Amino acid sequence: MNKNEFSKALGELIRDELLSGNLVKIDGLGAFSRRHIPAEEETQPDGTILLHPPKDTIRFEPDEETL
Amino acid sequence: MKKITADIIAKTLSEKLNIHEDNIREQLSELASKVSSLEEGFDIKVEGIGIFRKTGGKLQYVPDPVLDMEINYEFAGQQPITLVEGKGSFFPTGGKTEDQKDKGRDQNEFINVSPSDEDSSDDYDALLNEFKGDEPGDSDDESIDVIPEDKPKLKRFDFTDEPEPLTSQDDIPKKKKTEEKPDTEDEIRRTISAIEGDDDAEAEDTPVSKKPDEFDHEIEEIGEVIPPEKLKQIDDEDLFDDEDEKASDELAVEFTTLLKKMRDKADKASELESKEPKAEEKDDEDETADDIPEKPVAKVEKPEPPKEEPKPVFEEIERPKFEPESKPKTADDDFKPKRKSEETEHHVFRQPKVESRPKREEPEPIVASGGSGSGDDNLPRLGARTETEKPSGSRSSDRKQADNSTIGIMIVILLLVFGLGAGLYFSGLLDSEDTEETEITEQPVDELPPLPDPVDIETPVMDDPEPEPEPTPTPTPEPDFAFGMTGTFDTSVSEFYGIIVASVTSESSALSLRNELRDEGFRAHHYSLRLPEAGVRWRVVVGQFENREDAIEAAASLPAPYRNNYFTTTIRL
Repeated sequence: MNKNEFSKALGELIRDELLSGNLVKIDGLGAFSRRHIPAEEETQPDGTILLHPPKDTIRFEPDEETL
Repeated sequence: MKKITADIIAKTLSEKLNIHEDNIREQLSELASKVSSLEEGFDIKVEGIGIFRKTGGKLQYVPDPVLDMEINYEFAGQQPITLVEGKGSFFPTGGKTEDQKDKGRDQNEFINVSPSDEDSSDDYDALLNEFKGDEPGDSDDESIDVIPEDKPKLKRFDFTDEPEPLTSQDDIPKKKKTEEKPDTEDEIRRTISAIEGDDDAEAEDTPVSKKPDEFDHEIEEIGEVIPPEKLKQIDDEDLFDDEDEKASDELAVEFTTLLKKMRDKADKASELESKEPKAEEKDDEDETADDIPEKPVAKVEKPEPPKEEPKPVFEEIERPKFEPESKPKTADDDFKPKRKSEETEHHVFRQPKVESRPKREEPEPIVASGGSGSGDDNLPRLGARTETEKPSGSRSSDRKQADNSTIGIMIVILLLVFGLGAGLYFSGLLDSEDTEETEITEQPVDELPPLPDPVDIETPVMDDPEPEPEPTPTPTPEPDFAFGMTGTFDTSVSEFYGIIVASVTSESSALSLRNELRDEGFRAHHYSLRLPEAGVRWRVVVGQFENREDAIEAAASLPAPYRNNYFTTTIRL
């Protein structure tokens, strides 16, 4: 097994767990979690009001040991 | 939230990759050591996970785009929606820093507003001057001129609209007056000129300026003209231009005189019939065939000349006021034309007798002895003729004459009526009546309130209690389907906007959520779709909307778990 296959398999695992709403913690690296950003309005200087759609993003919290 | 530790990851990956868990742990520890040992300004890219970078002593993570998209799967493809359009910006929206915005703003501001720009300043000044030039010309002039101009306009408007019927109605009788007056006036003037003998009266174009009183006075004068004295004068002077008027006047007087004469004749005949015996019926039979030729025969057979009686007849002729003792004349004499005056009657009765004399009186010696020829001898001839008539006018002849006289009376009455009517008509009496009628017709026109009339006409229309039938709104066929967030989901609609509240991998969880929402009254539906990276996903959608804005507005009323965790998209079933 090469490193690429390992990293790819690790990425899929993290994705599935995040989509399932779980938190993935790797010791010595940090914790991956899913954060939901709700829809929000943005008022631009010209008066235009934009409505941004909600968004799910990956939140990474590095482990204290890595810092 | 479930916490996935390194042990779980090692176990899962070892099963997935068929690698021993220890190898997995070694790989994970190696990755952590590399990231932790990352120097400032360097980064490590892990395939399928992302990039780790250390900046400012802090470790930053940039997720892999594919992973990021997959995590944001539910809301992938959503773009910002412009809720309110701005009035224009000096810089493009987004993608600029504050410095760039300021720079762009300054540049744009200078371009648009800077007075140093000659073109813009010229245009601005030109517009300003034009505006200033227009202001006094338009607004001030209007403020000054509008008031005096509007008043006449209003007057004109009022004059043309409302008072028009007044003026028109006022004008109509005036026109009638002007049209009718000349006719009556011409006739009056004509008759006056005929009376006065002024032949040039018609040539005078005197305008119609006489008052009604003058017309009445003239009419009265016309009424006075009819009496015999003036008619006599008229006949003598022959001033009538119109022969019909003249004839009518003559007839009117003739028939009055004839009527009295015939009555006298009838009385006379009745008296003679009562005195003389009835043996003279033969003469009656002979005379009934023809009146004129047989009269001389009767005269020859009975030359008894009651000469005394014809004289009163002649006297009667001379006197318009007939005496009851007047001797009846023959029917021929009755139907002969007569004049209104005594002299005219005298001439009328004289001439026909002169004409009939040679036929009737040639065999008679009396006629020869009576004299012949000259007009001066007419009176004695008449007297002689009356003498001959008397013998011929026996009782039977007198009776026949009486019968004829009755017929003549009837005819005379008819002619009299006709003559009187014609006389009245031509004498102007009827015209005066016409003028009176016109005056009468004018009065109601004047009395008519011209203004109130249209108002009265209009007001009932306006005050008509019966309201006009309001146009019944045609019932627009309501579609069976109505957009909304509640109710039953209509699968017949192929395309609509919906609020996606969940996107899960298992159908059971999506179905349970859908049923839960339906129990709450929402129009929920679930469907599946395959994504290239995420595979099959089950989505739960709430509501069916015509456009995205309606869906967003409706999403605000969703319950708390879904209110801030939804996205809208076009759904095609």
